Amino acid sequence: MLDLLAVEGQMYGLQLVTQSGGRLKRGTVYVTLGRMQQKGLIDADAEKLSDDSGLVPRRMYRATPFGLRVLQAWTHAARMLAVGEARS
Amino acid sequence: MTRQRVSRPRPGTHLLRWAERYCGPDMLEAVVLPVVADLQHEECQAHAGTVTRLAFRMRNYLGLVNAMCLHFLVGRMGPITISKFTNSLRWLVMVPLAPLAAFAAQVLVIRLAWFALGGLSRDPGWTDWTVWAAKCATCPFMGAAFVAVVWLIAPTRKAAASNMALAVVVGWGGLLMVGAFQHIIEGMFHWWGFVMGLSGVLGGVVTWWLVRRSVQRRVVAV
Repeated sequence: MLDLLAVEGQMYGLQLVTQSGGRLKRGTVYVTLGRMQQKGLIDADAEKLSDDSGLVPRRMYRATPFGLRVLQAWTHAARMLAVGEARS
Repeated sequence: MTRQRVSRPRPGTHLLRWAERYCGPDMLEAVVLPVVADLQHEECQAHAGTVTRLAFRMRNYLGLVNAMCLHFLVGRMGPITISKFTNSLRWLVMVPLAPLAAFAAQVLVIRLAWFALGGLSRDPGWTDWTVWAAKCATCPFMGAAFVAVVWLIAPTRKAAASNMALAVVVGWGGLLMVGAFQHIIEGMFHWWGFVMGLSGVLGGVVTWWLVRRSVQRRVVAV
């Protein structure tokens, strides 16, 4: 999720599901996003809609600077593990 | 004369009213509102027919029920407890499912073989070799199904689980192969039994190698 948000900037839940190529599910994406928001990894804003649309505004999620740092650290750790695995 | 358009409520409006009444503000904010927003936007953008709209709604409503359950459980138990619970459940389910999958593979391949060979099952004179050949054809699929199901269901330590599954398949195939030598003193060697065991082991080994390779590829990709 953080990876997608870091690349795309701002996304809504269903967009994350479709762009993840089946790795994220509709039933779990919002609970996970909620937890990530609680941890300060992502931030959310309501989408701006015209008043007469009558639609419920979607929530747009984006990675926070802290989230981006966590993603960087995680990617680095995964790369180191992969190198270690390849050596052994 | 102009036809008046009857304005229908947006999809999810009733659901939203129901949720406002019965769900807590936390659940409403975190789960219901985003799902309803997705539902409305998806339907508006699609300009689809009735069946497709119904499919959208069904998918979103199922997702909502799933999300509400998950949100409730995470709130009550915490994600780590849920994860432990689901992992234990998967380990438990794996034990009967792996042999069941092997059995299902056997039934399926036998049926397909009979179907492909055409009417063998109706012929009372079908010779022994066809039965044994069909049995030999099922064995690699049985071994493969066993290893693949263990690999798929194991929640963690998939590599170790697939090693264990392969050990079981090798043990089973080994027994068949050893059984082939049972009457060797009397000069009888059960070739079919030996081939069955060998092909079963081969099916298991190939599947094991494929799943291990997929893991290595994933690690390298990271």
